[in-house]
Amino acid sequence: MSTVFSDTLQELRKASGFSTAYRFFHDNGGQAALGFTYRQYMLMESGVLPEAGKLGRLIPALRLIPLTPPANRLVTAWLRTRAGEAVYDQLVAPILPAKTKDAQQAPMHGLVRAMMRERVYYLTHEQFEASLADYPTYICYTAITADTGLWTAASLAEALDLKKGEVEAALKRLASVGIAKKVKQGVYRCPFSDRMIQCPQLNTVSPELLKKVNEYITRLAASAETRLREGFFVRADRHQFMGHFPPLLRFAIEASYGYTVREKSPSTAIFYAEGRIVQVRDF
Amino acid sequence: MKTQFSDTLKKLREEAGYQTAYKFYHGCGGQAALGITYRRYLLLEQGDCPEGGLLLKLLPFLGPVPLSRQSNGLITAWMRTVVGEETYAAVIAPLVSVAAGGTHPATAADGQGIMKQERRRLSLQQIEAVLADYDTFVCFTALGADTGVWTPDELSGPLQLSPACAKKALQRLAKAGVLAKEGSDGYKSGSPQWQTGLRREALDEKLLRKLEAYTSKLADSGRLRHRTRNFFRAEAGEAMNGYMPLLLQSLAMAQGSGVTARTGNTALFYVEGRLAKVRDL
Repeated sequence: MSTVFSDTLQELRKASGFSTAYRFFHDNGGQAALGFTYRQYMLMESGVLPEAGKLGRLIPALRLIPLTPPANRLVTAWLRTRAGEAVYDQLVAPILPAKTKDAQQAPMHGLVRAMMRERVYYLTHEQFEASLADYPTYICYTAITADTGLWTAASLAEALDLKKGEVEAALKRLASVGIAKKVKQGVYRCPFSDRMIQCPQLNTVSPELLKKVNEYITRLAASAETRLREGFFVRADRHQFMGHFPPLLRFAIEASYGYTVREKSPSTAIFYAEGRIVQVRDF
Repeated sequence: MKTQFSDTLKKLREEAGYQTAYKFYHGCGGQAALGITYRRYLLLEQGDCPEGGLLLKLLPFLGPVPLSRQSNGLITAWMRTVVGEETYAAVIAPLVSVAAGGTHPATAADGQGIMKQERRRLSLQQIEAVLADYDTFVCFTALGADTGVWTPDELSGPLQLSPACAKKALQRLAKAGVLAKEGSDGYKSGSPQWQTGLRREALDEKLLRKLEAYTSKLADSGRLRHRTRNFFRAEAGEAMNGYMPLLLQSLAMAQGSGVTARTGNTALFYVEGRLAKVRDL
């Protein structure tokens, strides 16, 4: 029997681009990453309410940011189902400050997200791990997933200023998990480089991988030539600010996807965009 | 003789809240900040066209953000004046992606609604006081846009400074006119409207290095709450002229959440966006 929670869960799962429960479960790393079985997940979508602790796994897997309106919707749906409609409306709802409407989201935001949803490719945990085998592999991964052309170890090594041997090993490794496809002897291309690639949620990967991905991104970004760095301090209400600004900032960074070109020209380059929010002092 | 440039300069100066040329010149910090005499500035408003380098010095005091309506307005007015209307219309206008005095297409909304509250800008001398040391910078960042009255003791807890350091910093800021003394031991912002974000273009090498060091130190002392990163491959021109304004505008939205009084739930946040070129590819 479907409940407010199971309906909301399904709706949010589809909205983040996972067309089936199966895709959602496996693209998020399955039981190892989520901490529950596929059967248990199916039951959640069919109306069995999970214990509250599972929400902490579901929210990131649905690619939602905690405390934002869509994440709050899942939490309130859980409460509503747990408490029952009448109790919820009379007792629970009045004491909840959580805002669950996307009132402040610009229409463009929704549109662009919908457009992106069609184009998303969710990297599997296995592919993610292979891309992080070592630093040269990570650089090769970043380059070939951004380009629809054909590459040999020699041409990629020259473009990326890496050793040919390193690139050869990297391409083989990437080919073994389907990130690169061998077109003919020694020639590779990425089969999904025309799509927007999303890594697994970082709280579902092992601490070692997390350390590596942070190290490699930081290292590659540090080697980049800064074109813009704009930073400022702002004093705001913690809940209000953290509920509304992070999705906007994430959107602004993801919007760089809209400027992507897949073919090389004399003026193309790989760029790095980053947005961050630091809570400096309670004041 | 009036020109496009002189008219626009005067209009933007008034919009920025400086009623007279005199107040603007001295409010910015005079010759030390602008590198020109007051007489020379007056001539600019009367029709003298400056060399391009001077625009860079004037803009931080006139426009809230790069690529804003104000900066675009002054730059296009300057180009029209330099090359003449006819040549501008025939040769340059087609290359320019903004209408005179308009916004960049990607920043149509321009954050203007949000940025509408007028911000007062610090003079060069006041900026020097703010950047005198790290503690003073922290006190200004917190109190510049605050409406309360604070004693060194009250401030030292939330800002994680010793009361003695807080006191020294507050005294320094009061002496520079950034804060006002209230009672025997209290301080309040001289104007809760201070623009607490210091524009880099207004600073010389030495001040810039200090600003960057203090900003990083304060930002790094906090707790990372959110970070999104993305590598993407694009045309360099598109990344700079298309994507960058969009990123800047989104960052500016954070300022719409700014509050000026403490509640149990308020916090000082640092927000940063970065765009960098990794490799030609």
